[in-house]
Amino acid sequence: MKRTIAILLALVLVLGLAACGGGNAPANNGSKENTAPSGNDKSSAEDYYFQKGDLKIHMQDPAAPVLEKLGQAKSSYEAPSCAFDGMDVIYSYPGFDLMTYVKDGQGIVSGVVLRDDTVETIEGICIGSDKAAVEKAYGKFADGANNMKVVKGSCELLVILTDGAVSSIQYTPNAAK
Amino acid sequence: MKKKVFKIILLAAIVIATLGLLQALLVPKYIEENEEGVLAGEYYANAGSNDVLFVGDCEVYSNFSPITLWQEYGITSIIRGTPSQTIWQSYYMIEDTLRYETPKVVVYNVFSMQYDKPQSEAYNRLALDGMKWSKVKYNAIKASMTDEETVTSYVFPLLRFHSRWSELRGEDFKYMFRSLQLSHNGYVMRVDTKPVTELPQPVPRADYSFSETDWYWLNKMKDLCTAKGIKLVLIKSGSCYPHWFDEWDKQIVDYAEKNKLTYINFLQHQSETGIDYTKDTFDAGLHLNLSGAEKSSRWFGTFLKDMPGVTDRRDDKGLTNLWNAKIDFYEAMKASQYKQLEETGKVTSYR
Repeated sequence: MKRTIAILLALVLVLGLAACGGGNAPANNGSKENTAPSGNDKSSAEDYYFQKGDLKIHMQDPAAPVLEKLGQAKSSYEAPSCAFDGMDVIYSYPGFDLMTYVKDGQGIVSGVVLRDDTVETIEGICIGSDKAAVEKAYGKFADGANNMKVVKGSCELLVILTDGAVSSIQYTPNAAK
Repeated sequence: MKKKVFKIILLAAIVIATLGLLQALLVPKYIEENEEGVLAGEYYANAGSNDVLFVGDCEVYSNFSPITLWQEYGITSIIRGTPSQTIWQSYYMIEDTLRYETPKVVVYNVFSMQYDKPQSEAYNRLALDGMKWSKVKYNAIKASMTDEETVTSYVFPLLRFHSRWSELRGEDFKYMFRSLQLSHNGYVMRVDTKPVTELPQPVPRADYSFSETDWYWLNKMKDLCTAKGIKLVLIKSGSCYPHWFDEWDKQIVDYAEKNKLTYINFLQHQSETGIDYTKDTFDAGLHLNLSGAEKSSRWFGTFLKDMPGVTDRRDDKGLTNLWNAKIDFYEAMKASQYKQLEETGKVTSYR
Protein backbone atom coordinates (compact mmCIF):
# COMPACT_ATOMS: atom_id res chain seq x y z
CA MET A 1 0.00 0.00 0.00
CA LYS A 2 2.75 2.42 0.96
CA ARG A 3 4.46 1.60 -2.28
CA THR A 4 1.31 2.47 -4.25
CA ILE A 5 1.01 5.76 -2.40
CA ALA A 6 4.64 6.54 -3.07
CA ILE A 7 4.25 5.80 -6.78
CA LEU A 8 1.11 7.94 -7.12
CA LEU A 9 2.63 10.84 -5.23
CA ALA A 10 5.76 10.60 -7.31
CA LEU A 11 3.57 10.78 -10.42
CA VAL A 12 1.98 14.00 -9.19
CA LEU A 13 5.35 15.48 -8.39
CA VAL A 14 6.86 14.47 -11.70
CA LEU A 15 3.99 15.84 -13.74
CA GLY A 16 3.40 18.91 -11.68
CA LEU A 17 6.81 20.11 -10.72
CA ALA A 18 9.45 18.67 -12.96
CA ALA A 19 10.87 21.37 -15.14
CA CYS A 20 12.09 19.48 -18.12
CA GLY A 21 12.01 22.51 -20.39
CA GLY A 22 9.69 23.62 -23.13
CA GLY A 23 6.75 23.99 -20.83
CA ASN A 24 6.24 27.68 -20.84
CA ALA A 25 3.28 29.35 -22.48
CA PRO A 26 3.53 29.05 -26.22
CA ALA A 27 4.98 32.14 -27.72
CA ASN A 28 5.06 33.21 -31.29
CA ASN A 29 8.07 35.40 -31.31
CA GLY A 30 9.64 34.14 -34.48
CA SER A 31 10.57 30.60 -35.24
CA LYS A 32 14.15 31.15 -36.21
CA GLU A 33 17.06 31.03 -33.84
CA ASN A 34 19.32 34.04 -33.83
CA THR A 35 22.41 32.15 -34.83
CA ALA A 36 24.22 35.08 -36.36
CA PRO A 37 26.67 36.90 -34.15
CA SER A 38 25.86 40.54 -33.67
CA GLY A 39 27.97 43.19 -35.30
CA ASN A 40 29.11 43.72 -38.76
CA ASP A 41 32.30 41.80 -39.05
CA LYS A 42 31.15 38.45 -40.35
CA SER A 43 33.05 36.81 -43.13
CA SER A 44 31.32 37.29 -46.45
CA ALA A 45 32.22 33.73 -47.37
CA GLU A 46 29.83 32.39 -44.73
CA ASP A 47 26.65 34.12 -45.75
CA TYR A 48 24.84 35.92 -48.46
CA TYR A 49 24.26 39.42 -47.22
CA PHE A 50 23.21 42.80 -48.53
CA GLN A 51 25.66 45.67 -48.43
CA LYS A 52 24.69 49.32 -48.35
CA GLY A 53 27.79 51.50 -48.34
CA ASP A 54 30.02 50.06 -45.64
CA LEU A 55 27.11 48.45 -43.86
CA LYS A 56 26.76 44.69 -44.27
CA ILE A 57 23.28 43.46 -43.42
CA HIS A 58 23.04 39.80 -42.47
CA MET A 59 19.83 37.93 -41.80
CA GLN A 60 19.03 37.53 -38.08
CA ASP A 61 21.32 40.43 -37.14
CA PRO A 62 20.04 42.68 -34.37
CA ALA A 63 18.09 45.43 -36.12
CA ALA A 64 18.99 48.40 -33.92
CA PRO A 65 22.60 48.95 -35.10
CA VAL A 66 21.54 48.37 -38.72
CA LEU A 67 18.74 50.92 -38.46
CA GLU A 68 21.02 53.41 -36.78
CA LYS A 69 23.58 53.17 -39.56
CA LEU A 70 20.98 53.28 -42.33
CA GLY A 71 19.52 56.50 -40.95
CA GLN A 72 15.97 57.73 -41.34
CA ALA A 73 13.80 55.47 -43.51
CA LYS A 74 11.57 56.95 -46.23
CA SER A 75 8.66 55.26 -44.52
CA SER A 76 7.93 52.40 -42.17
CA TYR A 77 4.97 50.09 -41.65
CA GLU A 78 4.20 48.34 -38.41
CA ALA A 79 2.33 45.05 -38.56
CA PRO A 80 1.47 43.77 -35.10
CA SER A 81 1.12 40.05 -34.51
CA CYS A 82 -2.47 38.83 -34.66
CA ALA A 83 -2.48 37.56 -31.12
CA PHE A 84 0.93 37.66 -29.56
CA ASP A 85 3.27 40.35 -28.42
CA GLY A 86 5.49 41.29 -31.27
CA MET A 87 5.66 43.57 -34.21
CA ASP A 88 6.93 43.10 -37.72
CA VAL A 89 8.23 46.38 -39.11
CA ILE A 90 9.03 47.11 -42.74
CA TYR A 91 11.40 50.04 -43.33
CA SER A 92 11.59 51.49 -46.83
CA TYR A 93 14.87 52.99 -47.97
CA PRO A 94 15.80 54.22 -51.45
CA GLY A 95 16.10 51.05 -53.53
CA PHE A 96 15.29 48.47 -50.89
CA ASP A 97 13.05 47.46 -47.98
CA LEU A 98 14.33 46.11 -44.68
CA MET A 99 12.10 43.72 -42.73
CA THR A 100 12.42 43.19 -39.00
CA TYR A 101 10.59 41.27 -36.32
CA VAL A 102 10.77 41.34 -32.55
CA LYS A 103 12.19 38.45 -30.59
CA ASP A 104 12.58 38.59 -26.81
CA GLY A 105 12.09 42.33 -26.98
CA GLN A 106 14.81 42.83 -29.55
CA GLY A 107 14.37 43.77 -33.22
CA ILE A 108 15.91 41.23 -35.59
CA VAL A 109 16.55 41.56 -39.32
CA SER A 110 14.27 39.15 -41.15
CA GLY A 111 14.58 40.25 -44.75
CA VAL A 112 15.86 42.62 -47.36
CA VAL A 113 14.00 43.14 -50.64
CA LEU A 114 15.68 45.04 -53.46
CA ARG A 115 13.21 47.29 -55.26
CA ASP A 116 15.09 48.96 -58.11
CA ASP A 117 18.40 49.08 -59.96
CA THR A 118 19.96 51.69 -57.70
CA VAL A 119 21.14 48.90 -55.41
CA GLU A 120 22.62 45.51 -56.20
CA THR A 121 23.79 42.31 -54.59
CA ILE A 122 27.43 41.79 -53.63
CA GLU A 123 27.58 39.53 -56.69
CA GLY A 124 26.52 42.43 -58.92
CA ILE A 125 22.91 41.51 -59.66
CA CYS A 126 20.18 44.13 -59.60
CA ILE A 127 16.59 44.57 -60.75
CA GLY A 128 16.71 44.34 -64.54
CA SER A 129 19.81 42.11 -64.76
CA ASP A 130 19.46 39.46 -67.42
CA LYS A 131 19.28 35.72 -66.92
CA ALA A 132 22.84 35.13 -68.07
CA ALA A 133 24.21 37.52 -65.47
CA VAL A 134 22.23 35.79 -62.74
CA GLU A 135 23.47 32.38 -63.84
CA LYS A 136 27.03 33.63 -63.87
CA ALA A 137 26.64 34.92 -60.32
CA TYR A 138 24.60 32.13 -58.76
CA GLY A 139 24.52 29.12 -61.09
CA LYS A 140 22.00 27.72 -63.54
CA PHE A 141 18.23 28.06 -63.26
CA ALA A 142 16.34 24.80 -63.24
CA ASP A 143 14.79 23.94 -66.60
CA GLY A 144 11.83 26.21 -67.26
CA ALA A 145 12.11 27.93 -63.87
CA ASN A 146 11.62 31.66 -63.56
CA ASN A 147 13.17 31.83 -60.13
CA MET A 148 16.21 30.62 -58.27
CA LYS A 149 16.76 30.19 -54.56
CA VAL A 150 20.37 29.92 -53.40
CA VAL A 151 21.41 29.35 -49.82
CA LYS A 152 24.57 30.27 -48.03
CA GLY A 153 24.93 30.18 -44.25
CA SER A 154 21.98 31.79 -42.53
CA CYS A 155 20.60 33.39 -45.67
CA GLU A 156 18.39 32.37 -48.57
CA LEU A 157 18.58 34.54 -51.64
CA LEU A 158 15.63 34.43 -54.01
CA VAL A 159 15.92 35.86 -57.52
CA ILE A 160 12.78 36.08 -59.65
CA LEU A 161 12.80 36.64 -63.39
CA THR A 162 10.01 38.22 -65.40
CA ASP A 163 10.36 38.18 -69.18
CA GLY A 164 14.01 37.20 -68.88
CA ALA A 165 15.04 39.99 -66.53
CA VAL A 166 15.31 40.11 -62.76
CA SER A 167 12.12 41.48 -61.24
CA SER A 168 12.73 40.73 -57.56
CA ILE A 169 15.68 39.98 -55.27
CA GLN A 170 14.92 38.89 -51.74
CA TYR A 171 17.17 38.01 -48.82
CA THR A 172 15.46 35.95 -46.10
CA PRO A 173 16.70 33.78 -43.24
CA ASN A 174 17.68 30.25 -44.19
CA ALA A 175 14.60 28.23 -43.27
CA ALA A 176 16.73 25.17 -42.51
CA LYS A 177 18.71 26.94 -39.81
CA MET B 1 -9.16 -6.76 0.92
CA LYS B 2 -12.19 -4.53 0.23
CA LYS B 3 -10.71 -1.87 2.46
CA LYS B 4 -7.45 -1.98 0.54
CA VAL B 5 -9.22 -1.64 -2.80
CA PHE B 6 -11.26 1.27 -1.45
CA LYS B 7 -8.11 3.01 -0.26
CA ILE B 8 -6.46 2.58 -3.64
CA ILE B 9 -9.52 3.97 -5.42
CA LEU B 10 -9.71 6.88 -3.00
CA LEU B 11 -6.06 7.64 -3.43
CA ALA B 12 -6.33 7.43 -7.21
CA ALA B 13 -9.27 9.85 -7.07
CA ILE B 14 -7.22 12.26 -4.95
CA VAL B 15 -4.32 12.07 -7.36
CA ILE B 16 -6.56 12.65 -10.37
CA ALA B 17 -8.26 15.59 -8.66
CA THR B 18 -4.87 17.04 -7.74
CA LEU B 19 -3.63 16.70 -11.29
CA GLY B 20 -6.87 18.27 -12.51
CA LEU B 21 -6.37 21.23 -10.20
CA LEU B 22 -2.76 21.60 -11.24
CA GLN B 23 -3.81 21.54 -14.88
CA ALA B 24 -6.54 24.14 -14.28
CA LEU B 25 -3.97 26.34 -12.56
CA LEU B 26 -1.13 25.96 -15.03
CA VAL B 27 -2.78 26.22 -18.44
CA PRO B 28 -2.73 29.76 -19.94
CA LYS B 29 -5.94 31.70 -19.25
CA TYR B 30 -5.73 34.24 -22.09
CA ILE B 31 -7.36 36.98 -20.03
CA GLU B 32 -4.79 39.75 -19.80
CA GLU B 33 -2.67 38.79 -22.78
CA ASN B 34 -3.17 36.77 -25.96
CA GLU B 35 -6.89 37.28 -25.29
CA GLU B 36 -7.89 35.66 -28.59
CA GLY B 37 -7.08 32.32 -26.96
CA VAL B 38 -10.58 32.26 -25.45
CA LEU B 39 -12.36 32.56 -28.80
CA ALA B 40 -12.49 28.88 -29.73
CA GLY B 41 -14.09 28.03 -26.40
CA GLU B 42 -16.63 30.85 -26.47
CA TYR B 43 -18.52 29.22 -29.31
CA TYR B 44 -20.25 26.63 -27.17
CA ALA B 45 -22.21 29.11 -25.07
CA ASN B 46 -23.53 30.68 -28.27
CA ALA B 47 -24.27 27.53 -30.26
CA GLY B 48 -27.64 26.26 -31.37
CA SER B 49 -29.48 28.84 -33.42
CA ASN B 50 -27.04 30.36 -35.86
CA ASP B 51 -27.99 30.54 -39.53
CA VAL B 52 -24.60 31.83 -40.69
CA LEU B 53 -21.18 30.56 -39.64
CA PHE B 54 -17.96 32.44 -40.41
CA VAL B 55 -14.65 30.56 -40.30
CA GLY B 56 -11.14 31.85 -40.88
CA ASP B 57 -8.45 33.94 -39.30
CA CYS B 58 -8.38 37.39 -37.72
CA GLU B 59 -9.86 38.80 -40.92
CA VAL B 60 -13.21 37.31 -39.89
CA TYR B 61 -13.23 37.86 -36.14
CA SER B 62 -12.13 41.50 -36.51
CA ASN B 63 -14.02 42.44 -39.66
CA PHE B 64 -17.61 41.27 -39.14
CA SER B 65 -20.11 41.98 -36.40
CA PRO B 66 -22.87 39.41 -35.82
CA ILE B 67 -24.57 42.01 -33.66
CA THR B 68 -24.97 44.30 -36.68
CA LEU B 69 -26.27 41.41 -38.78
CA TRP B 70 -28.88 40.78 -36.10
CA GLN B 71 -29.82 44.40 -35.56
CA GLU B 72 -30.07 45.26 -39.25
CA TYR B 73 -31.44 42.04 -40.75
CA GLY B 74 -32.42 39.67 -37.93
CA ILE B 75 -29.73 37.25 -39.12
CA THR B 76 -28.31 34.94 -36.47
CA SER B 77 -24.62 34.37 -37.02
CA ILE B 78 -21.48 33.23 -35.27
CA ILE B 79 -17.81 33.62 -36.02
CA ARG B 80 -15.44 30.74 -35.29
CA GLY B 81 -12.26 32.56 -36.13
CA THR B 82 -8.91 32.21 -34.42
CA PRO B 83 -5.57 33.93 -35.08
CA SER B 84 -3.83 32.59 -38.19
CA GLN B 85 -6.42 29.85 -38.50
CA THR B 86 -5.39 27.42 -41.22
CA ILE B 87 -7.85 25.98 -43.73
CA TRP B 88 -7.80 22.54 -42.08
CA GLN B 89 -8.65 24.19 -38.77
CA SER B 90 -11.48 26.08 -40.49
CA TYR B 91 -12.72 22.76 -41.86
CA TYR B 92 -12.76 21.20 -38.40
CA MET B 93 -14.46 24.28 -36.94
CA ILE B 94 -17.30 23.58 -39.38
CA GLU B 95 -17.36 19.88 -38.48
CA ASP B 96 -17.37 20.77 -34.80
CA THR B 97 -20.19 23.25 -35.31
CA LEU B 98 -22.24 20.54 -36.99
CA ARG B 99 -22.23 18.65 -33.71
CA TYR B 100 -24.38 21.44 -32.27
CA GLU B 101 -26.23 23.07 -35.15
CA THR B 102 -26.52 23.17 -38.92
CA PRO B 103 -26.12 26.67 -40.28
CA LYS B 104 -27.66 27.60 -43.62
CA VAL B 105 -24.55 29.39 -44.81
CA VAL B 106 -20.85 28.91 -44.11
CA VAL B 107 -18.57 31.84 -44.95
CA TYR B 108 -14.88 30.99 -45.36
CA ASN B 109 -12.24 33.72 -45.64
CA VAL B 110 -9.78 32.49 -48.26
CA PHE B 111 -6.76 34.43 -47.01
CA SER B 112 -5.43 31.32 -45.26
CA MET B 113 -5.19 29.48 -48.61
CA GLN B 114 -1.62 30.75 -48.78
CA TYR B 115 -0.56 28.56 -45.85
CA ASP B 116 -0.09 24.87 -46.47
CA LYS B 117 1.80 24.06 -43.29
CA PRO B 118 1.03 24.56 -39.61
CA GLN B 119 2.15 28.06 -38.62
CA SER B 120 3.29 27.46 -35.06
CA GLU B 121 2.36 25.62 -31.91
CA ALA B 122 1.29 28.92 -30.39
CA TYR B 123 -1.39 29.51 -33.01
CA ASN B 124 -2.44 25.85 -32.88
CA ARG B 125 -3.04 26.20 -29.16
CA LEU B 126 -5.25 29.24 -29.70
CA ALA B 127 -7.37 27.34 -32.21
CA LEU B 128 -7.47 23.91 -30.59
CA ASP B 129 -7.22 24.11 -26.81
CA GLY B 130 -10.62 25.77 -26.51
CA MET B 131 -12.43 23.13 -28.59
CA LYS B 132 -14.50 20.64 -26.66
CA TRP B 133 -13.22 17.09 -26.75
CA SER B 134 -14.55 14.94 -29.56
CA LYS B 135 -13.24 12.96 -32.48
CA VAL B 136 -13.38 16.22 -34.45
CA LYS B 137 -10.94 17.87 -32.06
CA TYR B 138 -8.67 14.84 -32.19
CA ASN B 139 -8.63 15.00 -35.99
CA ALA B 140 -8.07 18.76 -35.90
CA ILE B 141 -5.06 18.25 -33.64
CA LYS B 142 -3.65 15.53 -35.89
CA ALA B 143 -4.02 17.77 -38.93
CA SER B 144 -2.53 20.80 -37.20
CA MET B 145 0.44 19.60 -35.20
CA THR B 146 3.93 20.85 -35.90
CA ASP B 147 6.74 18.29 -35.74
CA GLU B 148 7.50 19.18 -32.13
CA GLU B 149 3.96 18.69 -30.85
CA THR B 150 2.21 15.58 -29.55
CA VAL B 151 -1.45 14.62 -29.25
CA THR B 152 -0.81 13.70 -25.62
CA SER B 153 0.08 17.30 -24.81
CA TYR B 154 -3.38 18.35 -26.02
CA VAL B 155 -5.12 15.56 -24.11
CA PHE B 156 -3.18 16.43 -20.96
CA PRO B 157 -2.18 20.09 -21.29
CA LEU B 158 -0.47 19.74 -17.90
CA LEU B 159 2.29 17.87 -19.69
CA ARG B 160 2.83 20.93 -21.87
CA PHE B 161 2.43 23.66 -19.31
CA HIS B 162 3.72 22.05 -16.12
CA SER B 163 6.68 24.39 -15.83
CA ARG B 164 4.59 27.58 -15.97
CA TRP B 165 5.06 27.79 -12.22
CA SER B 166 7.41 30.71 -12.58
CA GLU B 167 4.96 32.56 -14.86
CA LEU B 168 1.85 32.23 -12.70
CA ARG B 169 -0.03 35.46 -12.14
CA GLY B 170 -3.19 36.54 -10.44
CA GLU B 171 -5.33 35.62 -13.43
CA ASP B 172 -4.14 32.00 -13.29
CA PHE B 173 -5.76 31.60 -9.87
CA LYS B 174 -8.74 33.84 -10.49
CA TYR B 175 -9.76 32.14 -13.72
CA MET B 176 -8.95 28.53 -12.92
CA PHE B 177 -12.56 27.48 -13.38
CA ARG B 178 -14.10 30.25 -15.41
CA SER B 179 -13.19 32.67 -18.15
CA LEU B 180 -14.07 36.21 -19.12
CA GLN B 181 -16.14 36.72 -22.23
CA LEU B 182 -14.19 38.52 -24.93
CA SER B 183 -16.21 38.28 -28.11
CA HIS B 184 -19.64 39.09 -29.44
CA ASN B 185 -20.58 35.77 -31.07
CA GLY B 186 -16.97 35.54 -32.14
CA TYR B 187 -16.44 39.20 -33.07
CA VAL B 188 -13.52 40.89 -31.32
CA MET B 189 -14.20 44.60 -30.92
CA ARG B 190 -11.74 47.48 -31.24
CA VAL B 191 -13.09 51.01 -31.46
CA ASP B 192 -9.82 52.92 -31.95
CA THR B 193 -8.42 54.11 -35.24
CA LYS B 194 -5.00 53.95 -36.83
CA PRO B 195 -5.39 55.05 -40.44
CA VAL B 196 -3.71 53.56 -43.45
CA THR B 197 -1.23 56.13 -44.66
CA GLU B 198 1.11 54.15 -46.86
CA LEU B 199 1.10 50.40 -47.41
CA PRO B 200 4.38 48.60 -47.98
CA GLN B 201 5.06 47.41 -51.49
CA PRO B 202 4.07 43.72 -51.80
CA VAL B 203 6.91 41.22 -51.84
CA PRO B 204 6.61 39.20 -55.06
CA ARG B 205 6.33 35.43 -54.77
CA ALA B 206 8.29 32.86 -56.69
CA ASP B 207 5.10 30.85 -57.11
CA TYR B 208 1.55 32.04 -56.56
CA SER B 209 -0.12 28.64 -56.90
CA PHE B 210 -2.07 27.49 -53.88
CA SER B 211 -0.86 24.09 -52.80
CA GLU B 212 -2.55 20.74 -53.29
CA THR B 213 -3.00 20.63 -49.51
CA ASP B 214 -5.13 23.75 -49.55
CA TRP B 215 -7.21 22.64 -52.50
CA TYR B 216 -7.75 19.29 -50.74
CA TRP B 217 -9.17 21.01 -47.67
CA LEU B 218 -11.23 23.47 -49.69
CA ASN B 219 -12.76 20.59 -51.63
CA LYS B 220 -13.42 18.77 -48.38
CA MET B 221 -15.09 21.89 -46.98
CA LYS B 222 -17.22 22.24 -50.11
CA ASP B 223 -18.21 18.56 -50.04
CA LEU B 224 -19.12 18.70 -46.36
CA CYS B 225 -21.30 21.75 -46.91
CA THR B 226 -22.95 20.19 -49.93
CA ALA B 227 -23.67 16.98 -48.01
CA LYS B 228 -25.32 18.96 -45.22
CA GLY B 229 -27.28 21.25 -47.53
CA ILE B 230 -25.23 24.28 -46.51
CA LYS B 231 -24.33 27.09 -48.91
CA LEU B 232 -20.59 27.73 -48.87
CA VAL B 233 -19.60 31.33 -49.56
CA LEU B 234 -15.98 32.26 -50.14
CA ILE B 235 -14.81 35.73 -49.19
CA LYS B 236 -11.65 37.75 -49.07
CA SER B 237 -12.27 40.01 -46.15
CA GLY B 238 -11.61 43.75 -46.30
CA SER B 239 -8.15 43.85 -44.70
CA CYS B 240 -5.68 45.52 -47.02
CA TYR B 241 -2.47 44.19 -45.46
CA PRO B 242 -0.89 41.63 -45.82
CA HIS B 243 -1.29 41.92 -49.57
CA TRP B 244 -3.81 39.76 -51.41
CA PHE B 245 -2.31 39.08 -54.83
CA ASP B 246 -4.31 39.15 -58.06
CA GLU B 247 -2.78 35.77 -58.90
CA TRP B 248 -4.35 34.34 -55.74
CA ASP B 249 -7.64 36.04 -56.42
CA LYS B 250 -7.88 34.55 -59.90
CA GLN B 251 -7.44 31.03 -58.56
CA ILE B 252 -10.33 31.54 -56.15
CA VAL B 253 -12.48 33.17 -58.83
CA ASP B 254 -11.87 30.18 -61.11
CA TYR B 255 -12.56 27.68 -58.33
CA ALA B 256 -15.78 29.41 -57.35
CA GLU B 257 -16.92 29.53 -60.96
CA LYS B 258 -16.10 25.87 -61.55
CA ASN B 259 -17.91 24.78 -58.39
CA LYS B 260 -20.82 27.24 -58.64
CA LEU B 261 -19.88 28.98 -55.41
CA THR B 262 -20.19 32.65 -54.59
CA TYR B 263 -16.88 34.45 -54.03
CA ILE B 264 -16.83 38.01 -52.74
CA ASN B 265 -13.60 39.95 -52.55
CA PHE B 266 -14.41 42.81 -50.19
CA LEU B 267 -11.35 44.73 -51.39
CA GLN B 268 -13.15 45.14 -54.70
CA HIS B 269 -16.31 46.50 -53.08
CA GLN B 270 -14.91 49.38 -51.10
CA SER B 271 -17.38 51.87 -52.52
CA GLU B 272 -20.35 49.61 -51.70
CA THR B 273 -19.20 48.77 -48.18
CA GLY B 274 -18.21 52.36 -47.54
CA ILE B 275 -14.99 51.28 -45.87
CA ASP B 276 -12.68 54.24 -45.43
CA TYR B 277 -9.21 53.02 -44.57
CA THR B 278 -8.35 56.33 -42.95
CA LYS B 279 -11.12 55.78 -40.40
CA ASP B 280 -12.21 52.16 -40.33
CA THR B 281 -9.11 50.28 -39.21
CA PHE B 282 -7.34 50.19 -35.84
CA ASP B 283 -3.94 49.02 -37.08
CA ALA B 284 -3.35 50.65 -40.45
CA GLY B 285 -5.18 48.15 -42.59
CA LEU B 286 -4.59 44.74 -41.04
CA HIS B 287 -7.93 44.66 -39.26
CA LEU B 288 -11.08 46.75 -39.31
CA ASN B 289 -12.24 48.61 -36.24
CA LEU B 290 -15.81 48.71 -34.98
CA SER B 291 -17.07 51.15 -37.60
CA GLY B 292 -15.36 49.10 -40.32
CA ALA B 293 -16.77 45.81 -39.07
CA GLU B 294 -20.25 47.29 -38.87
CA LYS B 295 -20.00 48.72 -42.40
CA SER B 296 -18.77 45.37 -43.76
CA SER B 297 -21.54 43.52 -41.98
CA ARG B 298 -24.22 45.94 -43.08
CA TRP B 299 -23.25 45.48 -46.71
CA PHE B 300 -22.69 41.73 -46.47
CA GLY B 301 -26.07 41.40 -44.77
CA THR B 302 -27.83 42.59 -47.92
CA PHE B 303 -26.40 39.51 -49.61
CA LEU B 304 -26.80 37.06 -46.73
CA LYS B 305 -30.46 37.90 -46.10
CA ASP B 306 -31.34 36.56 -49.53
CA MET B 307 -29.54 33.26 -49.09
CA PRO B 308 -31.83 30.20 -49.00
CA GLY B 309 -32.93 29.45 -45.47
CA VAL B 310 -31.66 32.67 -43.99
CA THR B 311 -34.57 34.61 -42.57
CA ASP B 312 -35.26 37.60 -40.39
CA ARG B 313 -35.73 35.98 -37.00
CA ARG B 314 -36.50 39.07 -34.97
CA ASP B 315 -40.10 37.91 -34.50
CA ASP B 316 -38.84 35.00 -32.40
CA LYS B 317 -39.28 36.26 -28.83
CA GLY B 318 -36.80 33.81 -27.33
CA LEU B 319 -34.13 34.77 -29.83
CA THR B 320 -34.85 38.46 -29.40
CA ASN B 321 -34.32 38.18 -25.65
CA LEU B 322 -31.11 36.25 -26.23
CA TRP B 323 -29.75 38.81 -28.69
CA ASN B 324 -30.83 41.74 -26.55
CA ALA B 325 -28.50 40.43 -23.86
CA LYS B 326 -25.72 40.17 -26.45
CA ILE B 327 -26.42 43.76 -27.54
CA ASP B 328 -26.15 44.93 -23.93
CA PHE B 329 -22.70 43.36 -23.64
CA TYR B 330 -21.72 44.85 -27.01
CA GLU B 331 -22.80 48.33 -25.98
CA ALA B 332 -21.08 48.03 -22.61
CA MET B 333 -17.79 47.03 -24.23
CA LYS B 334 -18.15 49.80 -26.79
CA ALA B 335 -18.71 52.36 -24.01
CA SER B 336 -15.75 51.01 -22.03
CA GLN B 337 -13.41 51.24 -24.99
CA TYR B 338 -14.54 54.75 -25.93
CA LYS B 339 -14.01 55.77 -22.31
CA GLN B 340 -10.47 54.39 -22.38
CA LEU B 341 -9.89 56.22 -25.62
CA GLU B 342 -11.14 59.47 -24.16
CA GLU B 343 -9.16 59.13 -20.94
CA THR B 344 -5.87 57.71 -22.19
CA GLY B 345 -5.91 58.20 -25.93
CA LYS B 346 -5.77 54.46 -26.57
CA VAL B 347 -7.61 51.21 -25.98
CA THR B 348 -5.63 49.22 -23.44
CA SER B 349 -8.23 46.57 -22.63
CA TYR B 350 -11.05 45.02 -24.63
CA ARG B 351 -13.47 45.06 -21.73
